[in-house]
Amino acid sequence: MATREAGKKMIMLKSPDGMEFEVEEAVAMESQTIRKMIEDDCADTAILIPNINSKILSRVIEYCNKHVPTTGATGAAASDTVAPAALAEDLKIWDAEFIKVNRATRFNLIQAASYLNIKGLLDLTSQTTIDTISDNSLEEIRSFLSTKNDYLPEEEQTIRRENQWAFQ
Amino acid sequence: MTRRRRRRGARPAPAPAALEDDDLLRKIFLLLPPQPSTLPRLSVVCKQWRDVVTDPQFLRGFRDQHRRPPLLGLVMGHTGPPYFRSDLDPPDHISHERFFPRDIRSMNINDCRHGRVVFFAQRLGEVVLFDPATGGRRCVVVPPVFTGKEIGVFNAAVICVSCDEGHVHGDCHASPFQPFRWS
Repeated sequence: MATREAGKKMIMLKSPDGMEFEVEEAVAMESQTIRKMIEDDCADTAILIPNINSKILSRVIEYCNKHVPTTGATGAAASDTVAPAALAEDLKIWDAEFIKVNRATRFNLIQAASYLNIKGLLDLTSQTTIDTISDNSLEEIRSFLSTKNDYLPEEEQTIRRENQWAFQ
Repeated sequence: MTRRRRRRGARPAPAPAALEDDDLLRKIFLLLPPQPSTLPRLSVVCKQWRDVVTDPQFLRGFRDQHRRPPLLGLVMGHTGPPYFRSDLDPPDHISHERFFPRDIRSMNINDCRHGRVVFFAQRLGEVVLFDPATGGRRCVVVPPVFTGKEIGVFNAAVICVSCDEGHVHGDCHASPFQPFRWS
């Protein structure tokens, strides 16, 4: 299958710390936020991505590059002959490696995925938080997620009583 | 090791910054499994979480996200007091007493369908449609034809009549419904 190397439209993404990233438009449009800007003709040749530093933005672009359809997933093994199931498996393994980051980076990626509206990335980066919430006691949830219990003891008791069955 | 006695503004920035954003919390919470205990438990973590999970817009989104909620259990009984048997393990196990409030337990069950239970409150001469998940109830006065002495046996049923595209029965709480009664 022929690629569209020559005809690829490129777009510049700028982080607030002054870094510029030239990416294919199709890759940038993995972000629904950027897609809308492009479709609404609000995007010039360069788009400033506020609040997302270059380190995080480069990781986001890496993710989009890997997940953009039809561009022959960039993995070395990927080729036209790779079956969809194998490609999906490859992506799964790649995702698992991608998300092996420290806690601060993970939360920054969650914020970036939310702002840029990249559902796959939000699902992937939120999974650890989802697991933490699903698998732990309330005290552990508060501790692991640095969430402060701001209830007075009697307030907490009242709320627990409303649905006592859920705490047994 | 850092001690967790910092004040709100002095926490390490990244994690709290993400989790103090209501909009982001909403998106993360939408991905949680729809087990019955999920949202009640979250509401106890802190006030901000409670505000998010009790927001009607969030609840609508949560229901949309999980089109087919888990089966809570079985309502049993026929023309007598109802009994609820939970099908889930703790903390999702809902007791009979929690499912049916005391006054409801004294009524005669007629039907259970699409998340609602129909009772006949003989003393009031009313059909009561009860939604155990929300505690909501609607009473329908029985037409005189059913209260005449000549009719000894009657029954009632309820059916969800939602016309929403993609509606899946099991999540009918906010949907219109139609009660039936016959002798």
